[in-house]
Amino acid sequence: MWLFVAGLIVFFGGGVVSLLMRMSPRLASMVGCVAAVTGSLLALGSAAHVLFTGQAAHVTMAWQIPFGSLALGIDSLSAIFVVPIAVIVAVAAIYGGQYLPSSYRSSVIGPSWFFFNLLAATMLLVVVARNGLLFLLCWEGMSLASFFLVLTDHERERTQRAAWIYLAAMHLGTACLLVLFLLLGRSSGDLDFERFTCEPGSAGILFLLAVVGFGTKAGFIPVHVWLPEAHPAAPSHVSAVMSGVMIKTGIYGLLRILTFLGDVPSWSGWTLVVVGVLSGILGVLFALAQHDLKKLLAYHSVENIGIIVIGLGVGLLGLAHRIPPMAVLGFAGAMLHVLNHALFKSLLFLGAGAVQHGTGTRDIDRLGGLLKKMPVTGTTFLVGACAISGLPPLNGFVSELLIYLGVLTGVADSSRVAEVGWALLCVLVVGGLALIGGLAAACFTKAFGCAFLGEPRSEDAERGHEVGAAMRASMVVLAGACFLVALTGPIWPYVYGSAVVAVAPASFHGEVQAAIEQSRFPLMVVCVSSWAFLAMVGLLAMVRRALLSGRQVDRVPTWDCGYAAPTPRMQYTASSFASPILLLFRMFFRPRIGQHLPTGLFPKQASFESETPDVFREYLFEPVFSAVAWTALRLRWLQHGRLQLYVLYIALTILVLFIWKLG
Amino acid sequence: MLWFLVAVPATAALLAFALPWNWGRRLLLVACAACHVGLTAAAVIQRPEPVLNGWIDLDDASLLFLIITSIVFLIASFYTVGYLAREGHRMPTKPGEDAPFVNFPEAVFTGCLLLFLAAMTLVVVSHHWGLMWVAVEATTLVSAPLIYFHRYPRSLEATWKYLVICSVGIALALLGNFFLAVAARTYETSFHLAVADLEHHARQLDPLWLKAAFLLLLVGYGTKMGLAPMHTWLPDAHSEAPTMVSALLSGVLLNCAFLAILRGHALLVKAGLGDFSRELLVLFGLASMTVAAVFIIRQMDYKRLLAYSSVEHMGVLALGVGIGGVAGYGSMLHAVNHSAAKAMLFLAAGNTLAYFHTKSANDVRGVFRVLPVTGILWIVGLLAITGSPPFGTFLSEFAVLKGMVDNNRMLVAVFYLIALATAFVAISATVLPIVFGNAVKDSDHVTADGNSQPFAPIHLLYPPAEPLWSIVPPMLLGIITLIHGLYVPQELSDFLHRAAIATGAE
Amino acid sequence: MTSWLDATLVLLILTSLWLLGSSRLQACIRAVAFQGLLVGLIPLLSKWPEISLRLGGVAVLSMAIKAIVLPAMLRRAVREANVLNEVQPLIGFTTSLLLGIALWGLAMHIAGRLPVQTLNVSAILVPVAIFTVLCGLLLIVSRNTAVMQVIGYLGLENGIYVFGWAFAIEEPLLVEMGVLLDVFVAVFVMGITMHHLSREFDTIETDELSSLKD
Repeated sequence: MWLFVAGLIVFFGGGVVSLLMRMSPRLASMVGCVAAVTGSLLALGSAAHVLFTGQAAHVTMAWQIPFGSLALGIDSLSAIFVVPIAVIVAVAAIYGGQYLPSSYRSSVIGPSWFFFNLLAATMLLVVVARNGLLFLLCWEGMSLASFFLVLTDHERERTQRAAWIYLAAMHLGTACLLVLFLLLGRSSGDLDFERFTCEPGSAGILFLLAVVGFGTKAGFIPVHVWLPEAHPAAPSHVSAVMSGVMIKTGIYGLLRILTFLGDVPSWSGWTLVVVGVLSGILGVLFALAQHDLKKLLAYHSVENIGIIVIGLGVGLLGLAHRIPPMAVLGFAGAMLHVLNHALFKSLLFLGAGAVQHGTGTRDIDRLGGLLKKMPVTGTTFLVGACAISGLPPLNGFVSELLIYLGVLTGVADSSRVAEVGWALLCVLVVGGLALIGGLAAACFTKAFGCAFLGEPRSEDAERGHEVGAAMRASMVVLAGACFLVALTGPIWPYVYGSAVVAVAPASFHGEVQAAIEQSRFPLMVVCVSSWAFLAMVGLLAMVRRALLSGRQVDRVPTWDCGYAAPTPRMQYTASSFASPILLLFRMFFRPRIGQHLPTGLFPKQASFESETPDVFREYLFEPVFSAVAWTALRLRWLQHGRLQLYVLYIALTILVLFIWKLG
Repeated sequence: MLWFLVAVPATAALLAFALPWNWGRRLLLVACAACHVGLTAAAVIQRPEPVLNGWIDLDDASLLFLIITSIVFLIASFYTVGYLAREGHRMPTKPGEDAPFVNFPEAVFTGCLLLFLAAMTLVVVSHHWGLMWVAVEATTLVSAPLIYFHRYPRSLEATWKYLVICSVGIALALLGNFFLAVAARTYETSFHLAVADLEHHARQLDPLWLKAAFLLLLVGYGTKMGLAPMHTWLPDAHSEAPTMVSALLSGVLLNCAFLAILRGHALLVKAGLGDFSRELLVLFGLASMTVAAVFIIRQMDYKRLLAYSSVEHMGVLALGVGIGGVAGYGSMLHAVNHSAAKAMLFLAAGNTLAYFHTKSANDVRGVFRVLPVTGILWIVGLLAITGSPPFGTFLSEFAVLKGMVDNNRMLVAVFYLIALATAFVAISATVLPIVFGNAVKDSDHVTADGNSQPFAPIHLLYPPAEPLWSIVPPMLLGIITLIHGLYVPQELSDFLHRAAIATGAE
Repeated sequence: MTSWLDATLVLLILTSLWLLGSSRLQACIRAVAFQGLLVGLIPLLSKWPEISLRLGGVAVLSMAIKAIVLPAMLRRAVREANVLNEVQPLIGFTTSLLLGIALWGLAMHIAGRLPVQTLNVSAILVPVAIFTVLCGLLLIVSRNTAVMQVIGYLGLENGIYVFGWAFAIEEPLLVEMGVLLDVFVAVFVMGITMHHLSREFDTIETDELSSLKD
């Protein structure tokens, strides 16, 4: 535990030092980067210790603040969140060490590292805090640190707007959490987690508060609106951290609250499943409609959070109906997907950052042919794209498989369940997951295909060049990790077992333990077949090399059916690629399509473009906000400048009070 | 000892009227403020004996508000010295208004400022209803010339409204005092309005007269405190007054009026009518928060924005006391934090106004670029005033919320959160563009006559160094509220609890 | 002395109505001066015949300030500001008077809710006090010049003193003196402000004074 505290001190210290080194941005960047990596490694060490020994660590330090105490603790649930945070922060820091100084003005570098380290430290503190007030302070600290990181490029009006939306969303979400923690701590009078109790009958409302409060951070639909704004605005290594791990603290919070609630009603599981399926499908659909690479990735975060939430919902249903394997598979799948999404989403954001760094644009319709110019970025991006689409032998497949298995186990067990809707669940989750996976694959075909394959569509893409060694190395590490998780499948139920036990009610622990043992078998199959697959690929590659050795291989342009003058503009664009699917699902969102279809025998000009604003922002939040503002502006006459009116207010107030209150 | 607290600034004020040298007067201002802080510190170390039959006394609540008054005044006085050095003896013109205006003579300004301190100190230490009334009225009268320091029509209008509205309010409070006296005739035929005396006999007071008296006191002093719907003078006066006067009005004066209401509340609690006053305080608290939120939305004058935010925070204070329990403690803590944060924001706003010469948030962009420290102060202030960690206001607003949840006032809690959230969203929507962005509009922005128009005159693009006097005082205030957000020593907590108990808030 | 006191109180009601109904500034100033005189009489009448020297002193001082000094200041302000000798109401005089009668009903109603009978004073004292306060407020709210608002404020204060002098004037006087002083200074400061107003705006009509708004 002290290792962990030392890590936090390194984060804070490094952050402050790099903030103060205004004279030398290069040195500031170095200090910030080294501190972030060191701090992460220290935190990782203490989390690994907890995971391997299975012993939770606690420490309470002196702190004088009302209702608060500096109580920290790492149990298995915290540890499995500390691991991705530490890993991603370290990798992103290495990437940022090279990316930041070369992409931004030198004046922002010191503050940027300060807030980066602050973000890392507060994220870690959030998952180890054992006091409500400490949790909330760190939670808000995390939001503020990332808010300032989003504002790195603060002179652009879009960035300001994005940052404002982010800040507002975080604040509104936190309001729910305030009430949640105060309700949990009401009976004991203080806010230490160990004395939190759920008053009888209030589990439902507490659960809903947690879903809204933590869901805002995690990006559940419809409170996801800040995500596609804020992530693209931030520097890419920050987007990687925000999207990869910061939003997962919302999942952590939800899980942590479940440990206090005891028996939750079964509708809570259904709620999560529905929210998850909605987030998943709508997230991926919105992603499909985007042309901005980072915005597309941001919507994919909504999608993947949806998958995680489906897992949690399945787990909760398993608990509510006392089907241990279902609970275990659901929760373990969700938790593993937290790690997996952290790995591949960070990888993809780093890749997007590399593309932006190499070409100067993130607009997919202006890219193309980058695989030749940026081979490492392209390859690792492909790995990430396969992983996020849930293809074996990569990590995304493993966690999604666990969730599938969870649902199928539950359905197979239907004799114990008297609910009519049980088959519905199967349709909803299995169908939903399949749809999400399919659409994600389509979306990444579009993203990867249009950005990296084909010919450059603009001069920017033409000029593209590979990024520096540190940036490449961090992407390669993450890509390797994506394989590693899949190839070591059977160990994960052990790793997540104790965390699942923590979430399950005490009466249920034995059965859960048994179910964990059972869940190893499918993973073993996955693991073995993955190894086999890789071995086969390796073998084929060797065969190819053997066959080609000694022969001359020519590189020539792709055969274009003999057409004389192909230009890059003839390529399929991202908009056109997505168009059929967009039209199919147009009832869910309102794409603004501008098209000039070719007409006549000799069509001269034709174009097709589509733009898809966020439906929830445009049709839910903005109308509400403008209605409030409208009402407020209508009431301005109350303060219309006449002294007489003001005195009248006072006179009426006292008269009304006299007549009302004295009697 | 207690006499000195009032007498020192009062004497200094007379001196200030008489002194012929401006610099001597400024020195006197700071020296007197420092002396006042010293006396306050001495009072903290050793609680002085009551004087004048106990009419002037220093209980925990008095001490709390005395400390706030004293420290904020000292910090504002540093700022004042620099401000007067810059604006005192030249004749600045107000853009958009043709005639140049002359400032009030500096002697009158400094003198009134010191008298203001004396009057506020008297409000805080007086433990006699009549004396307190006199002191509150005195604060109105001596602060009127302060608001009219820059002599131009708008500030005159603000002064006039301030005078009339506050005088009417205070007159009602006087009627409240008389009602109190009548309520006390049940046990004594002679006329006694000593606070301790009334509280001692609280149970014997006539409840109906007492209730009526509280209504009048609440509305009367509530006018001064800025509770809606009696708050109407506040945005006008705060937006037109010189910066440090706005800071003092918002950070100190409103608190003094709050203390006066608290005394009434304490009396009702002692008389067993606590529920009556609590319900009213909750009502006015919610009303203030709602009205403030409504006017904060799309508020484009940033000084008025801050003024409405003061109304909102006065609502929080009233609400905290009305809820009682731990919320009362939160209310005390909030008084401290709000004073520091709001005074700091007004000083930052003053720096902005001095540079951009406009109070319209539409025309101010990129403060961070041209006035980096002021920009940071704005951001810190924004977070502090909207109750974000790591600032003290988060803790105090959290404590108020905890009081609501603990007392199972969930409807009030929901209302409170909605009002706070609305204010947060609206304030940040106005302040963020002020701070960030570019000081000069993009060249593609073209005005109606076809010329691109920079936000600031060209000579302003080369920033003058921000003088120390303009940034150190607000920084000090920011540090105070930051410390309170991360570390509240047990002694301070106990002290605040005692103050809350002394005023019936807990 | 009760009948004398009642008569004074009735006169107070009439002066309030006079204030509401008159269209001339000078008349209003005269009315408010007369009101100040009546208010100063009340402590003497209600305590008759045990009048201490201090009580008498305060009563006389109060009368001097309210009936002579403050009206003189107002006249001076009117003269300097060159305002028309018209009241310029926002609502008509007839309406004002009707509202005044309604306010009398309201004052009776409010006084009826208070336990007035325990006080051993004239039955109409409390309603008259409240009525005078309300009329003062009505004047502030319904008139358009700064002078009339000060007059309204004085009426409001007079109403409060009717109440205060009847019960509260015992001891200690110190505070009462402070109160009196404050009122004096308040009107003084208002007078100075009015002076500035008339210079800045060439008028003291409060129509001009509404540029600060949202």
